[in-house]
Amino acid sequence: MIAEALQFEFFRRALAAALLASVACGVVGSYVVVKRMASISGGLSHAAFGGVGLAYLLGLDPGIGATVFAVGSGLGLSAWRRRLGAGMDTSIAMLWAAGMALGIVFLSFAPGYVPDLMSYLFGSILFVPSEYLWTVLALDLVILFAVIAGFRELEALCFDEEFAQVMGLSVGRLHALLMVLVALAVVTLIRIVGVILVIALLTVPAAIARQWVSTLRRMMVVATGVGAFCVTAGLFLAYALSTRYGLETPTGPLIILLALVAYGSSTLMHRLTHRE
Amino acid sequence: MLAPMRRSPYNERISGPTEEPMTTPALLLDGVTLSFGRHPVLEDVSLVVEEGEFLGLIGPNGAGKTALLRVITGILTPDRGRVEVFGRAPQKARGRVGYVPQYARFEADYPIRVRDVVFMGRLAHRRLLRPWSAEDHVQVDEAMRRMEIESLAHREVGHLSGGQLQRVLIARALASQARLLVLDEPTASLDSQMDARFYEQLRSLAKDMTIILVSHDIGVLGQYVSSVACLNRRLHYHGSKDVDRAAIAATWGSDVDLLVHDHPHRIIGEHGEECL
Repeated sequence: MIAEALQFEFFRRALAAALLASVACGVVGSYVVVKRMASISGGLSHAAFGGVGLAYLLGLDPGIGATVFAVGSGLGLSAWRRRLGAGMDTSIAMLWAAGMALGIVFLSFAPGYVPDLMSYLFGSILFVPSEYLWTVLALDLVILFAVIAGFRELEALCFDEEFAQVMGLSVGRLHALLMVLVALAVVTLIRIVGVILVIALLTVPAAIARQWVSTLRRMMVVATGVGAFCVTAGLFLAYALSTRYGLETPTGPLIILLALVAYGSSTLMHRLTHRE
Repeated sequence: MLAPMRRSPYNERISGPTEEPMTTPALLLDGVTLSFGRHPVLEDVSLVVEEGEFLGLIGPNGAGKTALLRVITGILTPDRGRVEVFGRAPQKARGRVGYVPQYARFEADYPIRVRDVVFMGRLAHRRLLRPWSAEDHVQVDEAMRRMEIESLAHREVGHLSGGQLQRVLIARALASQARLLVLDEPTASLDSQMDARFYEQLRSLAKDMTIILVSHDIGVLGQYVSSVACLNRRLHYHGSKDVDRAAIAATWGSDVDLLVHDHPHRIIGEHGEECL
């Protein structure tokens, strides 16, 4: 079945895209988990949907709209976080809802062709164009460069921001950088699992990795591997369900369900092997 | 470099709170006033801490002790007043102040090992994109040796006991080659048996550096510090450790009984003994 699936160009392209995206998922997802940014990443992905809607209305590339909205929202949250303080949670909820509402309203205004909503909400990896591969590769390189160059500074920020500040680091700029990385990863992953499920791909593989390693660096490597496994397994499962049983199952949700099952199994295995 | 983030220009008053010292003091506060919104936190606090002093900063809960430490370390900028650490603004004194926060602020499951935490103390001296230098390794090893945590080097921080973690955080501050060590309630997480050993370690550090220790553990504190300051929004006392009852009463608002009520397991003993 594997060889059969790989005969199709669209399948090979989808697989390549998924594997490339799992780097962004594992590296940025590790920051999301250790710095407790799950709700922020959810907020950014839903904000990105507003950008998709506006891009359709203006006849632009929806990827650009999504990137501008996600990065802009991330920088906004970063700049205002000190003043927001305890109001951060509420602000994220508003951003979340505003992104969805704007996206839907903009799309309803869009003339002519109305895109398939489901593909943005739950992903459409089987239909990625080949340019997407280059985009993901470029985003991966940007993310990897930033993380390798600033690993210790970012780690100090995530572990103990006040101490980082006392050490003279520009924590404001570092936090903004981290937000941009999360926004870029979100935009990359929307293509694969959609706006609604991005939050799971940024948290579940990293949370699985956290159970088995004790440094952030290893967590990123393992999370990338787990992410790659989940997207690959999801793709083949979708293919098998479709060809063997005629069940046209959306790939994004399948990937997320597999990741959640993996998390459950990993937790169980960890409990059994680490009894104290 | 960090841009100076002063909200108001420094107070121009020249006359210090005491006569001008012959050498630059470790810390100079002059008329420091800070409020959070409309809530005053520090009012007209003036204090000179000479190099080599081991100062115990005491005061009731909510007295602004932590806020004062944050002013000293440059995390907070006061609304009014002058702050100088070894003659410089705190933001420009990076690497001279070692900050030991209350440990409870961390996420207990952050994946990092002891040695990597101690290395964070070297961030003040590191240039971006450079690996740790031989000097960094020397300072980290020396700091770990002084706090007797070499055997914990590869342990995960989340698996340490309260006392072990406290020593790791002090080692991190020492690794920065700080000349002023600032500790916020370091014994809050220790049981009283470990207190004594911990204070002995601090006393040995105090031989070649200036220490400011925040505590409401007045009884034990008296045995180790060289001077005491009483803070309750205003500085009510700074001087020898034989604090008179009037100063205590002024600091705590009414009467020493209130203090006893506040911390039922300790009262002030004449010689610092602990009374149950």
